[in-house]
Amino acid sequence: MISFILMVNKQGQTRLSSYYEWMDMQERVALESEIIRKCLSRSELQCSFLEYRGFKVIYRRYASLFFIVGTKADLDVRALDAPGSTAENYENELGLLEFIHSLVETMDRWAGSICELDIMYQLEQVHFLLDEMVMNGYIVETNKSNVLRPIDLIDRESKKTEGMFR
Amino acid sequence: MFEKTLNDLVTGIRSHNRDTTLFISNAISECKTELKSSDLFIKANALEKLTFLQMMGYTMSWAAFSSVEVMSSPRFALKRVGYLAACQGLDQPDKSPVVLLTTNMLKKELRGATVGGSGENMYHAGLAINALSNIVTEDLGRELLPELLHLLQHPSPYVRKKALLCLYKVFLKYPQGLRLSFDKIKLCLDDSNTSVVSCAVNVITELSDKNPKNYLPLAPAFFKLLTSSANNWMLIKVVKLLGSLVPEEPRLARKLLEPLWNIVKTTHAKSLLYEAVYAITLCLQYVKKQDGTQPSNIPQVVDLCVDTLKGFVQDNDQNLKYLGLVGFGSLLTSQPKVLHSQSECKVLILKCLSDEDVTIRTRALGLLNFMTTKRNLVELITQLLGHVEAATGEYRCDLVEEIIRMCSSNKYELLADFTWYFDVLVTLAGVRGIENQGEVIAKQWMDVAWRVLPVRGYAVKRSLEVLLCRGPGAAGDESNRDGDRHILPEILPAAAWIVGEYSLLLPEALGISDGDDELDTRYDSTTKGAYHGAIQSMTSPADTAGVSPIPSNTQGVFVQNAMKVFAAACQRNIQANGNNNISLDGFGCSDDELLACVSTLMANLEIYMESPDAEVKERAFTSYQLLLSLGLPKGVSAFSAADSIASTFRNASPTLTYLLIPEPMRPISAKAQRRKLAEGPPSPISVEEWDRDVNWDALWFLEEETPIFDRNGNVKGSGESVSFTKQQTSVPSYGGGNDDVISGTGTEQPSSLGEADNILFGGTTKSFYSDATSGPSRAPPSSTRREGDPFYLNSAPPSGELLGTTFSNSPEKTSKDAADAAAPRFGSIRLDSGGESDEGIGDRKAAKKKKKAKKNTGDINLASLGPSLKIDITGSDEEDDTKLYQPKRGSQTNKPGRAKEFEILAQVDLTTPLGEHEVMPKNEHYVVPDRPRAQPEPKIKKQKKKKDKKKKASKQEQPSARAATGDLLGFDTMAFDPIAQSSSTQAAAANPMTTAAPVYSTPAHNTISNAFDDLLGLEMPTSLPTSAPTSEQPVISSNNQDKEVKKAAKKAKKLKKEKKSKQ
Repeated sequence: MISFILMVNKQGQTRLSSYYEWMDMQERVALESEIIRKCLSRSELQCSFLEYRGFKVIYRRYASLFFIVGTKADLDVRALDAPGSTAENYENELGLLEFIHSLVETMDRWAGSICELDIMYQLEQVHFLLDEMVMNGYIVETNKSNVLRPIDLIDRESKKTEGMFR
Repeated sequence: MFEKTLNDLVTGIRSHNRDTTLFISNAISECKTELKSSDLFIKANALEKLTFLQMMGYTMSWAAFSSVEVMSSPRFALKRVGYLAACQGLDQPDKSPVVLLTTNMLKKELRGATVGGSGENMYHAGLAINALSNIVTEDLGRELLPELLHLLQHPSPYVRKKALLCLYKVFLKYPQGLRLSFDKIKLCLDDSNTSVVSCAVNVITELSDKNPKNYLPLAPAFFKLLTSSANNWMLIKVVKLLGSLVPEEPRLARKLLEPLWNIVKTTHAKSLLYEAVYAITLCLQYVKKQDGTQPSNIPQVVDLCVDTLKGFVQDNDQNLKYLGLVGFGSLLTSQPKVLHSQSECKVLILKCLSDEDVTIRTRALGLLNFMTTKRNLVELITQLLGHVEAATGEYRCDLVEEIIRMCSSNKYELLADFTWYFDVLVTLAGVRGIENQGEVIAKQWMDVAWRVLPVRGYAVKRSLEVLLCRGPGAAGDESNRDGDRHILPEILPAAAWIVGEYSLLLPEALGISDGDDELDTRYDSTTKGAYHGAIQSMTSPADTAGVSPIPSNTQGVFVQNAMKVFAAACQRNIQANGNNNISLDGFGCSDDELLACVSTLMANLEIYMESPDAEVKERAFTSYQLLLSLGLPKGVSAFSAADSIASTFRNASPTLTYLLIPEPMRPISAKAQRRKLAEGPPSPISVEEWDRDVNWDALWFLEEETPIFDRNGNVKGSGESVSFTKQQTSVPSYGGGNDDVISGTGTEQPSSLGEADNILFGGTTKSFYSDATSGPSRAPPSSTRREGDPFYLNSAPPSGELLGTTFSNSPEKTSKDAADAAAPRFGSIRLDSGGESDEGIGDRKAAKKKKKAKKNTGDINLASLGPSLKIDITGSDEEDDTKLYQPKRGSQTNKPGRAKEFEILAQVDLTTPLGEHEVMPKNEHYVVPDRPRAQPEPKIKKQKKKKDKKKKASKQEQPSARAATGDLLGFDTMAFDPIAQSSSTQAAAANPMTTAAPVYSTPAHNTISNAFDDLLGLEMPTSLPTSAPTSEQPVISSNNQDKEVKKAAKKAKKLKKEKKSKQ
């Protein structure tokens, strides 16, 4: 499953973070800054994966924004019994790269050309959009129009003065 | 008042670029006041801001209650903010009391989706489900599971898939629910909407990760999906899932090969391609048929894997390169030899070692283990050593670790030339920045010298070189080494121990010449010879009192081993004298050198005696007094008569040798001590027997008056205070680590001079102790007595001269021999291990487990060796290797709590059908949707439930008053039992809500007791007269019971109140 999704700018400031497993605030801040530091320090020539503290981190850079997805092998009970099994049940790395791309495309379609400020000012909507795509660590929808349908609905309704979705 | 919006906050933070803390703390306090407002808009606004701040690392768990309030807003826009805040900012849900408050709200939302059916409610439910999956607790899971299951049949796939995914999280917290609802999840696999199916696969994949056995029956369904589906997202998951089922059902592995093969051949998606190849590599571990043969198409499949992965590694895309390496890692676990014939792959992988990406380098490094053969080991290691130079940080440590692992794995299986390996170790010892590997290197350093007899001399030479190069002499010499050669501090004790323990080999060691590298034995300009140099380097005052003293435990080892070197020097001097002072091969020990040794020792030991460390001080003191007691005149200096000193020590030489280096130590199995302990106490040694073993001649000085002490009048120096028995107590503490090598140093301690020691030492040191007692008998090579003594485990490869000579040629063979020889003895010991401590058994079990795993990989090997080796495998000292070099498994940083959750979930067994005993909880869940008919208001229903619980509780507490408590809630008897009635009216008055439920026909002005009367009068007028006398009976019959009734009623009331206040 996906453990967290981060959107970070070039300066290393978090612009959106969504954690799908509970983490102590201190632990979280430490982990986040360490992972961000590692991601930012990597060059274009290096691969988009890194392994850190049991997480497999997949990141992708779009202009000045880094999209970072952390996934974690759930503690494999069998691995403790049988050292032979090397199952690393992560999400498929390439799949997650695809997912990041799809996320960015979806956001692009929603906000025109998405930029850092869009995410900051409309944090709640972006979260909603993200929740439509990833539910609690699992990718639930990758179809752009399906994802955007409720959001469009919300937008339309909110323009009316007395709508359900205001 | 105008509140800041989120936009204002963001702008504000951005404008306070320098120091945002003040601004943010202001903002937070503003939010606090805003949350107190009664306007939900303001609250939501504040929450939105807090969510933003939470992202920046400011906790918002204190606002949990407000988020619940906002969640309950009917406006979707506000509600969303509330839900988001709850998902993001709630404190650990299990501990947060606020979560309970959401129960009914969520329940309503979930039900709303089914009632309305219009689009809007669907999104409300989606929101609620999403929030639920984030904040679910056990209670929440139990309460809401029926609703979620109901939603699995919702017309909209939007809701279905969300509910489905949420279920996994619910099961994590509430594992009992899994059994009850699994059938419904199975149904979702046949859903018309592919994304729902995909979600079902997702959930089952996660579940099967915990306990794959449960999901084996579903394998055919997944198999069908695998062959029919065209959705790559789902296929990836299905492949993953099937891959995880394979270990449970090996027959599946063969079946899967074909469809996976097809996928590999046809798919264009790299992600799916990779997943399929990876799954194949998993399958390959299990494809072996029952009769042990491999299916015929395996070589082709392996080739396909290799080709695909090679393509990945060759690719310019770094991501694919990485995945290719990961895939190879998995492939090699099942086909370890596959790379041996693929020289092209080898080159590719080696090229990855110099990749600029450390992730890729580390992965490539992990593969080297599989690429090494006897033939290319030297070449590979040489390359790696080159990389060590260039590497930095953690990767450098990884490299060093890998080098050692490659050389030493499986008892140095691949290693042919130990001299070369020792050189490698010496090189590594000089590398900077690998401090955490120092201990491993030192251990190897000693292990090689210890176990491999032919390189001992060489080891002594290199160790001496390491010791000497610290001296000013070597530094000033500037021959071919730079002045400050770096030596890992952990290496020094190891080197000192080797030089000391095998000091008798010094002449031989110095005789070894390897070309141009002639060892300069000078420590500094005053050095007289090799022995003197060694002693100087080990007792250099700068080490203890200089600017940067070496660690005190190293100092202790140094002192001890300096004495050993000295003993060897004395012996050498005798040999030289016996040959009329003609040195044997140019490395004799002249009288002059001996004198220099003595004076160095005497001078330096005095400094060590002032050490603040007890261990060092004690050793130095003992050594010093030993020298004195041997008849050394006080105040010896470099100008004393060399002859007389030399002759004194020639006389003392047997004593020194006997006490310090009776004979080179032998490798001992890691389990020897434990086994000895398990065997029980050694048979008591009678004094005569013991007496016979001791070489009394060597202890001549004990019987004589020790004139030196007398002359000095030194009370401290009396024979008693130099008692060696006292000294010995320190030994076990020194060898406290489970390192045999170090604990072995104990033998050189003057040991067992009093029978009392037997009593002094506890069980754990017994084996050690008996080693010492039998030391004397070792001095002459008569080992007959030892023959039956299980302590002398000759299990290690080059135990003794007999095996040592052949060792370097065929290490495997010798180890087998040794194992065979030792096997029967191990067997007998293991049989009566009844008295072993728990820990020991646990350890052994763990070891056996490891062995099992080993056997898996080396089946063929074992079978050919027959039963004798099998005994060895469970009993030999292989353990150290496996322990030391067990490959790092993915670091398990999972929190224990989380692991526990998984464990519970793993225990859920789905293979058995729902039993009768499971109907009860099932009813509890499935009945819930029916209840609203009887009780329209869910809130009341809940309290009613609690009431039931209380009923149970009071029943348990007061079984005699069961009837009375029943009365409390049963309306019929209540009316007629005056006492019970009065108490129940009180209860009702205290808690009108609970009783209000049934009283729907009561006029408002009536008192509640009247209401009951009315009710009863209405409903069963006929029962009134008949039940009256019966209910009166208890009142008349016994006062006692009345009291109990009262008590029970009061108790129930109390419980009720408590519950209520909790709510």
